[in-house]
This record gives sequence, structure tokens and C-alpha cells, in this order.
Amino acid sequence: MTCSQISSILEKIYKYKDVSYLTPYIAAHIEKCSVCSKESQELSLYFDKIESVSDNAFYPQSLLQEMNEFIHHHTDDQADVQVTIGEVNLSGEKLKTELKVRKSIDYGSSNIGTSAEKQDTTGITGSSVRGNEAFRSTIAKKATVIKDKIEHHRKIVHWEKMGIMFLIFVAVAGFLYSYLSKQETGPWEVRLIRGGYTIEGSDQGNNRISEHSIITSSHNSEVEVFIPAYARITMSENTTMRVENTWRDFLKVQLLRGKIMLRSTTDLSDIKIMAGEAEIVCKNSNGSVDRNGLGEIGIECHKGLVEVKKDKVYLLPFGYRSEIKESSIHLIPYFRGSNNGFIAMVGEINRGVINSQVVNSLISLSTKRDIYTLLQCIPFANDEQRADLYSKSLDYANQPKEIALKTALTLDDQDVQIWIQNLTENKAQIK
Amino acid sequence: MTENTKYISYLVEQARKGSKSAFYRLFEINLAVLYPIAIRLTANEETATKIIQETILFALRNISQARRDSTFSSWLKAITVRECINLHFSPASETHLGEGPDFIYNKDLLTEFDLAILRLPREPRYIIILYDFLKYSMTEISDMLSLGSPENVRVMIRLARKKILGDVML
Repeated sequence: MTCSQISSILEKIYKYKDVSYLTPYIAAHIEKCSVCSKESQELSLYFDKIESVSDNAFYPQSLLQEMNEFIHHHTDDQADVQVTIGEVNLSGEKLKTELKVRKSIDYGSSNIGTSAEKQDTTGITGSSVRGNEAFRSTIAKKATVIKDKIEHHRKIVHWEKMGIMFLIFVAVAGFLYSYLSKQETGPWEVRLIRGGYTIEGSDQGNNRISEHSIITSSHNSEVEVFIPAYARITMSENTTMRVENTWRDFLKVQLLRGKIMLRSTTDLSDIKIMAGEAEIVCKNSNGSVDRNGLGEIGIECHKGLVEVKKDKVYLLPFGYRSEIKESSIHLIPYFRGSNNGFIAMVGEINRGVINSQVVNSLISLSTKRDIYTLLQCIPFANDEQRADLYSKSLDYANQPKEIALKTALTLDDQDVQIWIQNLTENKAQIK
Repeated sequence: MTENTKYISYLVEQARKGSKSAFYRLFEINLAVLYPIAIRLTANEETATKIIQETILFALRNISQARRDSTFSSWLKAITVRECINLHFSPASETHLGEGPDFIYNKDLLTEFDLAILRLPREPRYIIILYDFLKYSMTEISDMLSLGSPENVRVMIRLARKKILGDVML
């Protein structure tokens, strides 16, 4: 990606405050490239200023008076309706007046009309009842009408409320349906970061893939694959991967060759499996274990150790932080060594080469950050090597109480897992 | 619909029926947004006042076209921008009008950042305000100001931003 492309992305990040554009690749580029780094700082400052200035709404006080005169000067001398906030019928209470009348009827109010009017009413109706009563009977009829009206309006309001609730229900249902169907059927997309890739033999120009597609990244390339439910996979060089299906909660990626890395854009996790669980099947193209890092792979997890073995299916729980680093014959999942020499030695062990030279190098190159890897090498080593590895491990971390009675020679794979689990839960134990 | 939107809707309805107070109230509500646009675009206090008056006249004549919801404010903003562009960019535009911080009398209303914008020449100033403040697209801006391709707009934005930041940092 060129600096000018980064520049346009930077603008989106700062102008629209959309950090989803800030991928690790872009962040790394900004950190490395002095030009982009400077531009990033400038844009950040610029849009901060814009934001603060945009909120600054102002006008000279005299302008309001001028505008008032201007408006009155340019409008006809027609009758004006005085508008105040209090007059506004915000809640749409059209029945307010009628409700007042109803209230007065309910309480048998007799102060409607003057005594003269009452007498007049008696004269007009010709009734033998007293004027006041005749007047009341007239009101009673009106009251019936008003009551009917109120009842009618109540029914309308009731149906309006029902209608609004129905509309809200339809809107929520529509939103959920579109959200879920988007997750379920969202397109798989491929984006090239550097180098090249092919999809089922087609040119690298394609960026949409479908079920059963095979994606192959070429030498010295890096490719990002966006899968439904917002998961993302980075394919490094010479990786071949098959899309098994695009079900909503069941994202299946079959690694055929090379290595892939699952990532997340959430803050909590490096792996972006948003749909709950992901199934990863790892095997090489002919189904056999490959000694050159093409067979099983290890997954490094935050919460615990997860090993991925050939032809086995593992479901990663939601929120797991995992990174597939390298394939392995000995299934040592922690390959993130503190230095390249150490990683190279672990690679040797995973390829089945475990001798005193390799172990001595491993021990001498290790740091306390490599404690997990050292521990996992113990079960594969011979007696002499085990003692060295065990001794070095004790230099870096205390042995937990559960396996306190175990020695270098009796420490088995299960004990190592307990030790690692203990360290994962309480990192303070690492010296 | 929020209470505020209901209120605006009510005022628009009343203004359509000919209520001066409703119309005045609508402008009173929106003046604090329209005036900064006018003053930043024109860089001249007198011209900005004139633009606001033109906006009022246009809105008075065309109030029947206004929608009765919250987009009324957007409608007024669009009128203000159009009046400014007509004033400065039409063939019969008034080119003798002074522009810049010297033509603002109430400078205390403006920030340093505003003053840096006002120091820009006319075209970059319009571009920056339309693009960064009012969120018009580059294509829209190139069409509105007859600047050819959006790429020209992109280049001018970069230069103008650098100039503004340079002024502010000094």
C-alpha cells in the first residue's frame, strides 16, 4: 500500500472518526513511515480543531433585531398568529377542551349560563320543569355527544398506539432479519496487502469468493480475507486455504498449506470470530502429516492451551485470542519465541530433530518469556535433556504445588499442562 | 419524532400559513448555525449579513417548498451556501468585496482557527468549509464551484489544510 493510499485512509479515520479503517497493517505503516506519521499527527490536530470550531455557533446580538425588522418589512400586513412554545400542542391533545367540559358535567356544575338564560330556556322549551333543570337536560344531551366523541377519540388513540407498536415490532423484526441474514450471507472478500494471490486459478483481480473457493497466496505476499460475521483471516506467503461454508455460526476454513492467522478488530481479541464459534480443520493437501510445518498447527490462547491436531475439529469459544503461528509435528503451540534463534530451535524440535545441540541452543537462547515453550519441550526430550530443560524452567518460574513432587524425569505431558495453566492464570509466578 | 422536531414542524406549518412570528422564530433558531457559515464563506461581516438577508428572502418566497421536519435547517443551510456561491462565483459576481479578518468587526466571536480559515484565498476557503465543515463531497464541490475534476479539489484541500495548520501553529 502506498503512502497516498494510506493518506486517504487516514482522512477517513480522522474526518469520520472511523477507527475500523485503522488495521494493524496501516498502524504499522504509520509507525514506520515518517511522512505518514507526520500526516497522521497533522490530520488529528486539524480535525480536533474543526470539531471544536464547528460547535461554536454565534451571531452578533444586533443581527437578531435587524432580521426581525427585515422579516416584518418584507412580509404582508396580514393577521399574525403569535407563536410561543406554550401554545404548541406537542403531545397532540386535541381533546383538552372537551375533557374540561366533561369534568364540569361530572361534578354537576350549575354555573353554566345566567339565571336569565335559564328562564329563557324554560320559555323556549315550554317545559314544566324548572329552567335550571331544562338547561341541565340540554347539557346532558351534549354531554352524551361529547362522551361519545371522547370514546371515539379514545378508540382512535388506542388503535394508533396499537399501530405504532406494530410498526415498531415490524421495524425491529426487519432489523434483526437484515442483521442476521447479513451475517449469514455476507460475501467473503479478499484484499491484497502485498504480493499476489489467486482464487481457484483465476487472476488476482478477483476479490469476491464463494463457498468451496480455494485461495492461494503467492511468494512474499500478504492477503486479508474478510469472512462473514466480521471475522478476518490474514494469509501469509504461500498459503492455500479453502472456504468450506458460510453459515452464520459456523465458519469453516480449511487450511491446505502454509499458515494463516485469525484476527479480530475488537479490542479484546486478536482473533475475530464474532459469530460465537469457528471450526478450523487443519491438514495438508494429501492428508498426511508433513514434517516441514505443513501438518498440524498450534493455537495460542489467552485462556488456556488449545492444540489443533490433524483431521480433528476444534471449536474455538467466543472471545478466544488465538494465533496460528506454525505447523508442528510435536504440537508445541507456543512458537512466539523471544528471538529468531530460539524460534528456529523450536522449529527443529517440531520437525522431529531433538538432540543435545538443539536443546543446549534452546536453553542458552531462551528468556523468561519462553517459559511456556521450554516446558512443552520437556516431554519430548531424553533424560539428560529433560534435566537441563527442567532446571532452566525452574529458573524462570516456580513449580506449582499440584506437581511439586514431580521431578524432571517424572514430569509428563499432563503435568506440563498443569504448570502452563498455572502460569497462564497467574503470570506473577514468572520470575 | 422528537419534541424539537415537532416544534420545528409546527413552526414551518404556521409560517406557511403566513405567520411572521413563526418565520422569525424559525430564523432565530437557525441563525447561530447560518451566520458562521455565511461569515466563514464570505470572510466579510457586511456581506455575511447581506447573505443572511438573501437567505431570508428566498426562504420567505419558497416556504411552501420547505419540508415540515428537521431537514428545514439543512434547507436553510443549502440556501445560504447557494447565495454565497452566487455572490462570489457567478459570472455577474461582485469581485470588489473585501475578504479576510480585516473585514470582520466582531473578531471576538471567532477563534484563531476561524481567522486562519478567513485568511485563505476565496476558492480554498470555500473548499475547506464545504468539505470539512459541511461534508460536501469532492465531486459536488467541483461541480458547485466549476473546478473541473475532483482531483483539483483534493489538491487544494491538502494545500489549504497545511496553510491553516501553519497559521494556527505559529
